Amino acid sequence: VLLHRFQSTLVIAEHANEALTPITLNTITAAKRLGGEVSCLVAGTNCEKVAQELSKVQGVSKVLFAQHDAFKGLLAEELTPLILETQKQFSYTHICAGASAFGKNLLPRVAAKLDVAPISDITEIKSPDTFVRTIYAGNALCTVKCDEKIKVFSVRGTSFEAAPVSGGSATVEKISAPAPVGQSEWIEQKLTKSDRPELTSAKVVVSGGRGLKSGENFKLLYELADQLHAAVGASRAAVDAGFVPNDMQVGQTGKIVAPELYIAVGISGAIQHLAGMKDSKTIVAINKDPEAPIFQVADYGLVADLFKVVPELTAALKK
Amino acid sequence: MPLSPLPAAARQSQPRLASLKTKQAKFAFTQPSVRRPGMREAPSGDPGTSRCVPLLQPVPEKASSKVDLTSQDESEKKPLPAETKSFAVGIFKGQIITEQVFPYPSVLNEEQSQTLQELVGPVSRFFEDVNNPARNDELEQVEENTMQGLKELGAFGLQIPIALGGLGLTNTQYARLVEIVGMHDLGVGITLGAHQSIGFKGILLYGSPKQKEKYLPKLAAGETIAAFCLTETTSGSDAASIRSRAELSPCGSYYTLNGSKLWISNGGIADVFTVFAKTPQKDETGAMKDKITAFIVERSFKGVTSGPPEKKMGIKASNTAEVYFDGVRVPAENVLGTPGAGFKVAMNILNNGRFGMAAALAGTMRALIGKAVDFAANRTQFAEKIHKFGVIQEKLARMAMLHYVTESMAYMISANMDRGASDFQIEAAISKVFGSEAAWTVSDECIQTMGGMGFMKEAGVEQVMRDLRIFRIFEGTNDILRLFIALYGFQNAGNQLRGLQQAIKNPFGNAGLLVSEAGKRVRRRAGLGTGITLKGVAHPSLESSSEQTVRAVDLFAGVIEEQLLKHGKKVIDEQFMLKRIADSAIDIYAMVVVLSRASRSLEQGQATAEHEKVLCETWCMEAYERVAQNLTSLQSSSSQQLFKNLRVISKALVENGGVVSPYALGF
Amino acid sequence: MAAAGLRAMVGVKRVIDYAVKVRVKPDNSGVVTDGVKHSMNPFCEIAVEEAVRLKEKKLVSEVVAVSCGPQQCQETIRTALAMGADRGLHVDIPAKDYENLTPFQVSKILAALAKKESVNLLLLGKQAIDDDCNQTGQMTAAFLDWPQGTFASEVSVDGDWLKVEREIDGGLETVRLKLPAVVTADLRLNEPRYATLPNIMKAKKKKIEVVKPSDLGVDLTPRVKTLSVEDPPQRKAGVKVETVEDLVAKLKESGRI
Repeated sequence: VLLHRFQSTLVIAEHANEALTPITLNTITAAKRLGGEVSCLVAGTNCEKVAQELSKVQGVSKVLFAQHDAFKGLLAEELTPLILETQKQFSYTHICAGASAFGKNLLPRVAAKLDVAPISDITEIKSPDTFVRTIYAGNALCTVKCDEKIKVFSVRGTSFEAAPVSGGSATVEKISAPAPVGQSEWIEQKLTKSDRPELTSAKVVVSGGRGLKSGENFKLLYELADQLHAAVGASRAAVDAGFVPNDMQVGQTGKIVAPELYIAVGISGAIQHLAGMKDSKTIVAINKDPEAPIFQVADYGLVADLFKVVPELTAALKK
Repeated sequence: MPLSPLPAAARQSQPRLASLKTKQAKFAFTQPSVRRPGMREAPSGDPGTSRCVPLLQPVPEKASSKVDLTSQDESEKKPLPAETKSFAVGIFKGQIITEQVFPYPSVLNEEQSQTLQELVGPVSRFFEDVNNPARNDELEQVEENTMQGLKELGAFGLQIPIALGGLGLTNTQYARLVEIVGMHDLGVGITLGAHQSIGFKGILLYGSPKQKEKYLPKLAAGETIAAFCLTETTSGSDAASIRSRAELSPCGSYYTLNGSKLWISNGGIADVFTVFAKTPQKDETGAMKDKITAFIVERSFKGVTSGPPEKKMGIKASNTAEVYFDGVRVPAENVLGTPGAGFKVAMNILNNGRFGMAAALAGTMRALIGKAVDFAANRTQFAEKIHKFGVIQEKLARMAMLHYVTESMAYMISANMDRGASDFQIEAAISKVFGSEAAWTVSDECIQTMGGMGFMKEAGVEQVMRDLRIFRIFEGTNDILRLFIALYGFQNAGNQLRGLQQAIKNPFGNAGLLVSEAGKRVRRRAGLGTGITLKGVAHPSLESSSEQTVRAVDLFAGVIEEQLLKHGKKVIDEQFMLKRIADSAIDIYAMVVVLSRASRSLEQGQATAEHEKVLCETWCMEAYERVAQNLTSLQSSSSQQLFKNLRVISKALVENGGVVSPYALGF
Repeated sequence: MAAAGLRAMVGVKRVIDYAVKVRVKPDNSGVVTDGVKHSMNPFCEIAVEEAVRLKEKKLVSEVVAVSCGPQQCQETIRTALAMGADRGLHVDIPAKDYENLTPFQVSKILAALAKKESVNLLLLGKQAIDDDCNQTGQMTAAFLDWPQGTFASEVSVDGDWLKVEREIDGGLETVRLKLPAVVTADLRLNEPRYATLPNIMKAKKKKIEVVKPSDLGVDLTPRVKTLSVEDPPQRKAGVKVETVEDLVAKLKESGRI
């Protein structure tokens, strides 16, 4: 308990288009769980607004932000020196970020520069030095103890509640950016435009697999998703077959989601897919093959032709 | 060091019952009983009965209607093998020859084993990810990209020497890979097997260096495909009766080949054919006799054509077609082996490739059992998973035993071949008969276990069953192979008997032999053991199975002797009896094979040793009962009556052109 | 550093085959690995494939495949050799140390090797499907002070730079990295070729050099300790519903819709 007073955690905030990425809020909750002070670091080309937003999050005591053109694209090579300097200045005991593409790319580099072993994608904090994470596509849980002076780790967003975005009053401090490294350049991004909720933070997710047979048929799922205000995901098979873009992939090597309701349509339920959605509160499976493995994890299973029942379901929800 | 996949001994000692061995091309056309020219007739027997009497020896000089089981074949000028090392042959004489069966052989050195392990992965993956058996079946052809992938994979030249572009695998290594193919797609298995197991095997076994260099590299790459052409419309089981002819040109530089071959696997897609045709050969007296010669014929030779693909019950992906040779000029240097020695070439090729079939079928069964078990373990009926029910348990257990026996046979034989054994043709024949029937049963029971699901195309099992049916027919029908197993054994035992008969003529010079043999006979008659034993050879905890095996051998040898004494050389006509003898020999070999394998597992303390012990004991229990029943029935007079009745019924059916009894209602 | 002369190193890891259902050991010390089918980590395969393709395009002159672990790693290196890597490097780590090996030590080893072998392109899989860490590439890049292109779905050489298209949460992103660089492969970077049997045989002639971590000055002391490995919480068995109406009713009942 004495330790807690000397704990201080730095959360590397993730943001896009001047809006905070939701996973940062889940990460802040995790950071709070450690006890001790929670600070946030925001880097970007124009991120004061995000810094201000962060300062209102309950439990954050300090927000640091740095702006520079070199931070365009949030390149790991450019952010790392900033984080190292901040660490030198403030000596945090813990540094963390969400286990998104951003966090997973960045944190291990930071850890290596600090000469410490990082821990990826934690799902539980047992104590300031003991964490739980999944291995083998979620088929086993691993509890690890880290003896490093600085613990660097990434946080699985779906395992922690989002911190409340009001009620906080952190100080906001602009810090200077170190000289650009220049060994990498950010060229462009090709984001899939969507009005739907984001996959990893949606309350309801409707996912399609190879059973949909074509990208066009995903229309059925979009219509269902509209009724449920849901995000739409896909299995690797559907992505590989070119039905949908890769950022919709749910699974061991895609996105991990844990919504209130996950509806798997035409998905067989390979272990690698289950790894990405096993923690959903309620799982519904629709598949015409009664032996499909997905039924083993589904709370409610409907053995039927998806082309018949999905429109039926959409219609039933409209009523 | 027997690492060569081509045991030199493969060319040796042809079975005396050469023409009885009916390993033809893939499709042995079982002739209805029709008298044909050149067919020997048994001197006595029902005049009205036409019998397909297999020749025991090549036609001797002096025409004789007698078929001599025990005399030397002067025209062949080859002595009988003095000491056989074959276990299956030895039991006919009441001997347990352990050399080839105990301990269970391991022939791969570390390097070969490591290499093989590295090959298993990619081959398995290819069949799991790329090959689509259902699609191949649907298209009645191996998918183009699969065919291409197999070529790139190197699957077409597994046993061709590395220097000629192949992988130079030993028989045991080959067996393991063939097992994978069998596990996934028998149609592809036959395509590959017709190409390398028999299609160009003749070039490997008998080819001159020039022939090997000319043909093998392209065959290894799959650039050219091979086919084995023996079967004709009038010649299936009776391979010696082929009619295709090749006449040597006056200048001696080429043969003109005419004939047509039936049901040739890869016939429609092959470029290199191993063709068997009759050629006139001068014998010692100067007379011209027709003898079979083997040729390497290229499709590019003018006059070679093939027919459309046959529509079949199974292995639809495998191309089966007629091949026609019209005035094809085959260069003299394309004779495979020596002119006139073609029959031996054919039989040896088939013999040499047989172990592959057992290996493939072991793979097929393993996959089927996996499906049956998966179903039984997950299917709930009557509030229980169905594997809890005795009826299903029996099915699964029997499937496992059939698989264990077949797999053990396949690798025992391949190992013996790799060690340079020359005495394995009976065992190879046994493994073919057993494996094909075991696989059929396993596929049948697998479907039964799965119920309606098994009958549906989607489950994938019905295709396997359809694919399996041909395995009991081609490469020597199981019926013919049974006769071969029995008769070869009889002949070998008969020679011993002849030795005995000579000893009887000169008792004083052969007292020891007489006493020991007489003693054995007396002991056998009294039901006492003749002193043969497996103690110290098989694992001590398998004692009961060892004892059952020994007793079975004793019983068996006694019956063999009785039958020989009873029928003499006419034993060849007694097909009802021969079948039961063969079944017993097969069961006994199966017993010893699992005894050997389980012993090794126990000795090595393998994790599955206890389970294998149970498989072994259960198998031997039942096999012994079957053998005992088969053999004691032969000794009884009621079996004679039975055989007579069967004959009578069959005769009436033939006379009546079908069912004799009228419609149940009279109309 | 002319593009034609790029020297590539690929890290390959031997893992439990993706199709195997893993079982937790009864003593909770780990997962059962004895007697279980192992193969090359699928992402490592993709990395090897990319390296070999670059070599076939003559952008890379030599591909070295490296693996860290006990003797069996050589199987995995041989697979890489059969796919087209030129030679192998086996960093021999005894089984006991291997149990505690994590990306931290592996990255140090790879960094040391990259320097020793004068490598200018290091290709790795983005994560190993056993520990799912997704750290090695990033850490090695940091130790070498090289830029990193992680989760790559396309790689091309652009003079002294590497153009990398990456898979990110919202779609795809393109970056340029100054060589030398580290790239980690994501699923859609390529489809690995099947090792053909003749290539497996030929690969036997390729050399595998064995080195010890101590030769590279790397300390294997673990920094993170595994306290226990457990089964994930079991989900309660579900029910089958017959109709859409049933489903909607049940979902309303449980408050999900």
